[in-house]
Amino acid sequence: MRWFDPVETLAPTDVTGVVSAVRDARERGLVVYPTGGGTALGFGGWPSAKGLELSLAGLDKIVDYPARDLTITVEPGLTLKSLGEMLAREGQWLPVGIPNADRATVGGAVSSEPPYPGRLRFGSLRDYVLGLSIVDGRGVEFTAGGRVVKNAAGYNLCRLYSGSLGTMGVITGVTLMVRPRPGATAIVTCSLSTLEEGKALFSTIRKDAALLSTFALLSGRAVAQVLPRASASPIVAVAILDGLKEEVGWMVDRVISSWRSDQRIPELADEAERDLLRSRLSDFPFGPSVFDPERDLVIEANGPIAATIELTARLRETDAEASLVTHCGCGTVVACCRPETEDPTSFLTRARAAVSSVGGRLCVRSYPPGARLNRDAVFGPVREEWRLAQRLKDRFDPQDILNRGRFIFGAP
Amino acid sequence: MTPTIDSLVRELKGLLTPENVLSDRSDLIAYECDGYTIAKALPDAVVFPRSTAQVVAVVRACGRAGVPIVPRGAATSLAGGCLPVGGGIVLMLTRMRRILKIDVESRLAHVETGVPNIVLGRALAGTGFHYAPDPSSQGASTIGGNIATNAGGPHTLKYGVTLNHVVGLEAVLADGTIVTVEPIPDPAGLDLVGLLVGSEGTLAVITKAWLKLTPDPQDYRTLRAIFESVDDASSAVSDVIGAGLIPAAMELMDQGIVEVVEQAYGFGFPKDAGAVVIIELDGPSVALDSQQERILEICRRWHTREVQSATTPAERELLWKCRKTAVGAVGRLAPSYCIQDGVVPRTRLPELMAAVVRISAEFRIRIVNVAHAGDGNVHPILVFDERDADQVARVVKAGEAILEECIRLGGSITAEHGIGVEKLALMTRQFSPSSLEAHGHIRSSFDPTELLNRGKVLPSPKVESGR
Repeated sequence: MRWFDPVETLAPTDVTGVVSAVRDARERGLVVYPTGGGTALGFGGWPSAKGLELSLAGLDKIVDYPARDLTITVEPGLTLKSLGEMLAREGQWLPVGIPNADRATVGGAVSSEPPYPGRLRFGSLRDYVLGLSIVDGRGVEFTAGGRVVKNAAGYNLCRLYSGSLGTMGVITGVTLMVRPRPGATAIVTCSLSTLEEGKALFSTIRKDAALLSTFALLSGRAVAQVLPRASASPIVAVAILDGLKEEVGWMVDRVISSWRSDQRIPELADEAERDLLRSRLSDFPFGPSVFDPERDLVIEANGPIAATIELTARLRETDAEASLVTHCGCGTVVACCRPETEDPTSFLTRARAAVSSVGGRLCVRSYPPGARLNRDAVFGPVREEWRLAQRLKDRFDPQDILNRGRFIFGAP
Repeated sequence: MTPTIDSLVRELKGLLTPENVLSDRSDLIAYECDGYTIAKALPDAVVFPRSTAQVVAVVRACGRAGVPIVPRGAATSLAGGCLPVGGGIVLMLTRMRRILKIDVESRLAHVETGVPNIVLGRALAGTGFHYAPDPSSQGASTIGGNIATNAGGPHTLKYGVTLNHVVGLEAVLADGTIVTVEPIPDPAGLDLVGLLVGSEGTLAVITKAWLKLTPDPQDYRTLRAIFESVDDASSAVSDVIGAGLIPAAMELMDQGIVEVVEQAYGFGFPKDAGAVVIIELDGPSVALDSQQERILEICRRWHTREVQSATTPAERELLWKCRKTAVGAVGRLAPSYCIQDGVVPRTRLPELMAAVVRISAEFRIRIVNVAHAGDGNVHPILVFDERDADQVARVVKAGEAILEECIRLGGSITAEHGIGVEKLALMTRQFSPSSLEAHGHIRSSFDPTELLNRGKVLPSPKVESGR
């Protein structure tokens, strides 16, 4: 394997197997690298020790699906695609689009939380995690949260594990809150010349934002990579609307008339274009036809919502060839860059400075394995609150055997 | 007053000025409990900081003296979360009540945590946005208190709990360090906001918050459905969710509470109604009537006696008034009441409601019920006379029996009130020893000496042995 070169790979099919694997590794002084579908292995610092790969792909069952409770409990190795298919049978969905859903697993998605287009309306994946089963770095099994949609009993351990990149424990079970599938979806696009025009378009529909799941600006190579039909425009706005059929129809009319009165030419995607566009946007920039893991450096920049357009502009100045998607209303820009004539570390220093200049932060979501980036290069300079995080890490994984070197813990 | 406390109070008066420190017994009585009146304890002193710097100074002074701190807002909490167990200093945040910024473009409000929920609501009126969490206590409870208990409210069903609306925090840790998590999504780090929301003041004193604003709905449909029985009403609620509809709220009141509300306010409810459910739909007008029709059909399937629809904002307000004033009306039944908070998977609600009836008979305690039924969250209200020790004991046992039933049905011992002191003993029934140990890791990572809100959320050896 490119990332870990594991001394061995274990693939347990039940929780007992996970507990044994962790305890055994601990006794042998080996580091454990938990994996799911392998779609987000490019995220995190370069593994700092040899160890074993603990594949959770074999734990892929649906444990319990009381559809009328709008919850589902699954094993971590279930793919997002399989989860989506099961939910669709009951007219439900998890409104969080994860790249490469056919391979990405639920446990991997909870651990790595990739940025996704619907956050404007639907929040983050962690907002849907009601309960987790965990095996920590000592091989101790415990549960967090539960199977109810409101739960104030004790500390929110589910939040501790969401986005912690497998460094606090191995996830062995996940209970998710799910929602009724929207009756209709529409996507309206609009070609633009400048980012400021995109900001103005967003402003016109911001107050009707109840149905607006995504307002994204595609720029650079992303225009061709995401749009199903060719466009000569440097920037394209994409508005995704989900809701009941009547609501969406009403909202589409409002969006189109408001943009037309702004002298723009909005276009309503047909059914085939709509589905392709949504799926490409969810996959961005990790879609199979777009992403080259050997060459691409994927960065996620987050800043104050009011500075989102400026953040995008700074990144475009840093790399004029980058492929960018700007999530308006979220303060997030995802950029896929190929700094082929520049060392990745030096490129990141420039990009980080550009992002910082507008009050933002930069994190590397994937880098070519040859770059072997360390923690600081991936996550940025050490922060005060990481001391607190380290104290938590020391309790749940005192020997630092889980995903060593990959997250914010320890020295680079 | 012990020499340690005496010296600490003098130091605190020096730090905050004497008028911001109470230490006379007659002044302290008002701080001996919260809405859980079964348990009471006097603090040694009460302080009123007006800035984060003053909070830091208080925390450091108490830390040096080894005297525990209870951070507190309006004390509307219902599980004894504000109880100064074994004394200590009550740190009031109610004078840190500035709304620092309302940024409609970014859909954010930046506030000090002593701001009452309703004050923020009023400040947002007319902006086209609102702050969605609306606990029934919102007229008095503070944003900080809402954050500490991860408060919900009727509209949680569609909009989520407090945690879903807090995007950044400033907090003072037990060692006096200030931690600021800005309202910027950030994959680099653990979710400290997620850990602090709902931590009942045991991990940090939360001094400021960035809150997410929600667009105001274009329109509403508010219905009042009267059912012959609680079973029919909760089955109808379950069917609405099962049909893929997510109303903004579905609030259930049983016959006992309807009768009291009717006596108190005369809203015109039939006193023999088995249950009343208030259902609110919101969103674009264009789709509300069709959703309402589907809900009416479900209500008819469950033998609804009558469904009334609010046709004006005033009528809507009246329907909500009868729900929001319900708990207050319970005071007419007996001198004291204890509001329980349990939650079960939505489809198990009819079973839980039936169990509450059985438990009421078994322990000979009158219980009336309000419920955020769409979430499976029930608030049985146990009425009693706190001067009668036997009744108090039966209330405690009946409350525990209800919560045991919630656990048995796959739910939790609290949905939105927190553990406080009331439910400490039940934590061992809700969680396995290893899960409790994991909770303990969180506590000890943030506050190893248990300076903050000692004896809450998790049992504390320091409380059992005295400090």
